[in-house]
Amino acid sequence: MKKGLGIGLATVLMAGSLAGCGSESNGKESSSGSGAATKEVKLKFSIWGNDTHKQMYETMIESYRKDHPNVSVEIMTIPSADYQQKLSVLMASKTAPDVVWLMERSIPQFLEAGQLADISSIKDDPDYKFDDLIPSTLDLLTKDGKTYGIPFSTPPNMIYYNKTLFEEKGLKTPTELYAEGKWTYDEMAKAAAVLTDRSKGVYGVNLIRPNGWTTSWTESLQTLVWAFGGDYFSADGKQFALNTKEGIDALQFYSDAMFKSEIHPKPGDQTTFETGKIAMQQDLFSYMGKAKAITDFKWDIAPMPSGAGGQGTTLGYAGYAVTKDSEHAAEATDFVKYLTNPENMAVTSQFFVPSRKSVLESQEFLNQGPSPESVKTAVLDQMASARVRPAFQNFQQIDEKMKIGFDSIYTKSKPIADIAKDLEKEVSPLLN
Amino acid sequence: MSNATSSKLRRRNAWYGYLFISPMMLGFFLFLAAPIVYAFGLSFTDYSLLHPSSFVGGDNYARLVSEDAQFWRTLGNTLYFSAGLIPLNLGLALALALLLNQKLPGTGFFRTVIFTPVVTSIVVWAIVWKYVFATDAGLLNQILASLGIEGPAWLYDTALVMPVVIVVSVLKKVGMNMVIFLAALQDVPKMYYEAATIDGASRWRQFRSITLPMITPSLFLTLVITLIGSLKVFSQIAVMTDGGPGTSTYVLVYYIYQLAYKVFDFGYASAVAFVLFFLVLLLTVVQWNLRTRWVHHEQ
Repeated sequence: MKKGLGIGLATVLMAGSLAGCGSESNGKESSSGSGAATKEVKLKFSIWGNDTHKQMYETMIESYRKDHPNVSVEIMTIPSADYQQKLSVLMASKTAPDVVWLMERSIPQFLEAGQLADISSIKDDPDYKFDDLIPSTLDLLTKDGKTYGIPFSTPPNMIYYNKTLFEEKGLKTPTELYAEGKWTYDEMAKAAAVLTDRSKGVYGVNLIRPNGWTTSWTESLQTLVWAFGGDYFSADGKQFALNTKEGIDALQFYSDAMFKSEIHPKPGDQTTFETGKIAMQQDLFSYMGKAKAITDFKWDIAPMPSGAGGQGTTLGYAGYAVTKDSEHAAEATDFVKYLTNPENMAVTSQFFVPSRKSVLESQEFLNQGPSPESVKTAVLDQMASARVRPAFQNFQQIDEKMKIGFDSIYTKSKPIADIAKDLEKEVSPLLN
Repeated sequence: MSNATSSKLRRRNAWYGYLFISPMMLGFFLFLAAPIVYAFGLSFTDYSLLHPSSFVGGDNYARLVSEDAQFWRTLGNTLYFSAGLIPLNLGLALALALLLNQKLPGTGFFRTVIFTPVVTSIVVWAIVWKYVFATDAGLLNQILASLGIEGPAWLYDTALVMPVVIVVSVLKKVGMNMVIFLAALQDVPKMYYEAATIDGASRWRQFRSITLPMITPSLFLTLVITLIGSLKVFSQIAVMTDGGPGTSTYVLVYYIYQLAYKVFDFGYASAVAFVLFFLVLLLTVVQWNLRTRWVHHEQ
């Protein structure tokens, strides 16, 4: 009798807690578009951006809700270093956000695993002007003729330089050198040597993007390797290609800049361009927001210098996609369409180099930088030759090995030639 | 008759007991025991997010023992961390406790200062120290520079990075052990010291023959807790070094995290996790059995 009561109670408790787990249902089936009987729909939207990006999206969401009062969008911020990991786990547990930002290196993994939704329907609306999107930017997100996402940011990397420091030393600026066709890595190193002032903690050049020491090989140094005529991987992605004279030269230049001529900050250094202690900083267009807040000195942007292999400019890449398991795929697709329509891409172009031709070439975009001329030289003129970094389905494994190898440069534990050789041994099996 | 009622009563009381602990036990089984058992099962598969999984028997454990040099390096790093952390942590905690057990002005203030890191978020703590140890703009190297010394790249030197992480971890946790020691010290009856003073025992002799034996239960407790904690170190490594430079700060939990959430090799990661589980279990059993030898007034 008492026993029965006990079991009964336990069952009730158990059932209660299980129900508690499962009852988080947000919004039921959706009637797409502007139907009359619309239900509340909550979309989740994940980004790795900063607060200014978030604010911009919040304003856009507010105006989206004027036409779609039943749709609310919650922004989820995940740090970029953890983004792919976190999203992979969320996808596996079927709790992924409905709309996601994706960076180039993570796209093959999700696309090949069938975790992205086909959003080709977006093309059907003539007002959307799908043809306006620069075709080459769509390649990564297209499979078998179907569209799985829309790129919104394709920034070439560039040099932000401290004009005041250049003027003080009476040096020609990178912009001037570029105009004369003399903007090379040698010239850069020469200028950097003059600009470096160790007593004041001023460094001539920093190739490492903010907080980028652990991701340096891909985020910061691909350009250098390309510019020296080397590469990490063969064009088909099946061979490791860094163990060549060009590749080793590139790494040697980088190592010497840190440890020999000491014109480049040491490993683990966190000095930022805003402090005025970095004369030349490699970064992407998205750094513009922070640069604009600088008041202590004059600055400008210039294209990357060139080496034996050209400029090697990389194209950053980020797109919106809808996850396959989204319960509100129709609303999510519509939201992506809204974010990438001509008007909104003009809004996002304050941070992101737009993938729409009309926006890219607009006066409005040219005004997003320090001057229209600089934006034209450092951004628009570079788009044609800039390349997107290679992406791999097992990027995470490759990344881990590369990171460990590149750390040997920082710890000076092996000669550069040995590092390249060891990396070849470690990474080749992953490329198959 | 009385026998029957008492057994009935006992049974009823037992049910009440079970009922009272059921929320806790339910949580324990659902969120702790079940995942542990599940993970143990996973360690015999090649489960990954990227492809369908299959049963592979003991392959993961075989790979771990014979093929994976990184695992052994990682295990070595973990033991290095523990071996550095435990004596430093316990020694410093005891020294601080002895110091702050005196009736000196300001002890309350210093106790608070030393305990504050314990209740600080480990991530915040690690980020702050990462900046302190930054190569050029770091606080420490700035101070050294003002003295005319060029500081090393603390977090990018394979020989320095582990000691740095150990020191940062000790400073974070030393307050907890200090508080435990303080409580133990205050429980030592004063009469022993009085008797020892009359017998002419020196301070050192009193410490060795009275204080130390009387606080051995606390020493044992802190040793076990600190050891287990040190084998599970993760956050400060993830934040400050990311396992680097190279693999010089790869520790077991960080390696498990890498395998599971970066490479998505959940099966193998589970196998490594179970090695850690058995390692902790083994060390705790050993300590438990040794305790009668050196813990005072323990049977």
